[in-house]
Amino acid sequence: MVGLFIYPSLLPQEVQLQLLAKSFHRDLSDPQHQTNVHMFHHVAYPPGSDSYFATSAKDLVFEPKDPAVHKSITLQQYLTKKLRWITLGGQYDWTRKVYPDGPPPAFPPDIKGLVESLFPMKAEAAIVNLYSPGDTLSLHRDVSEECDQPLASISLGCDGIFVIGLDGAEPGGPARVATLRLRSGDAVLMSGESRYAWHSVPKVLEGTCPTWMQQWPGSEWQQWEGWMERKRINLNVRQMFD
Amino acid sequence: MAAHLDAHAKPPDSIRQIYKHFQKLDPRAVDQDNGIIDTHLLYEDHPYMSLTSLLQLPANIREIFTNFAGGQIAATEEAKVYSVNAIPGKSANLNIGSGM
Repeated sequence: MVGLFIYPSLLPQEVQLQLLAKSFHRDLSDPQHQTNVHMFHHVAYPPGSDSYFATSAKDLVFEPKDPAVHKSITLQQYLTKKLRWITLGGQYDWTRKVYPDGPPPAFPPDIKGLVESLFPMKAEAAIVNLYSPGDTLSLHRDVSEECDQPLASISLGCDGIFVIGLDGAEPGGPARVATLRLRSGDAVLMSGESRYAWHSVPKVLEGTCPTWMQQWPGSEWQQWEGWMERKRINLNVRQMFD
Repeated sequence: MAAHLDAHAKPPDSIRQIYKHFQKLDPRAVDQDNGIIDTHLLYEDHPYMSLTSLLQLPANIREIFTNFAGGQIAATEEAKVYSVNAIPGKSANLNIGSGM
């Protein structure tokens, strides 16, 4: 498929663990990075930019913007199932499927440096998707960026089945589709014709998180040790402008 | 926005059927489904994937990883880049129209 590249086991274990730490201990606690929960709840933050996995965050409660429609969310619910995505840098409006007007907040410079060193693109916006077994991502195209630059996707944690497809090369011709089993540390680059391909995650495979990652964030974070065992994290990085 | 594409468009039926197949697939059957390319089972003459030199990883990739990790990293195999050069999306267990 034109422009679709796979980097198997690209990231060493230490880099994968650092990506988790930076995304979840640091960036999730930074209010400039929005989450899906921000849409309907007042998101509470740990004191002093602590990690949500720290003891100081354990009693946080997220109150609904409209109590008639939504219930409050405990920290346990937030980290276990309610948190489905975090945006880094440009804050994509998922409801309207556009980027808001105005300059985007800065993309975390260390993650930006890593991505730009590995892939032929600028890292300007990212979505960190969180999945548990049973969760899916429906077929869609990422068509809202203002440029035709590549999109990089990094997998961490449990294996995911990834389906990507394009319409036929000729009108009425058969669709061109690939199904990949993506594992922790793999990267995918969607470029050229594949940049705007239909793609989806129909399945996350339970029991496939690498043993050395399963216990993350580790015993020092008490009740959260083993959080990653049932998670798949996808860091999806885009360039917004030419 | 990619001007020629509609963010609200519906995916083609044939791709949607493949999505549904894998959504419904018993996880225990995943290993036997030869419609799936396993990124850990790639090899030189793979029918759908080929090593590519179109994209070059940086020569100092180990230094980049060490800097990001903030410390030494264990030895790893040389990273490789593959391009997807065919359309293996359908499973052997699928029967989706004549075109697939």
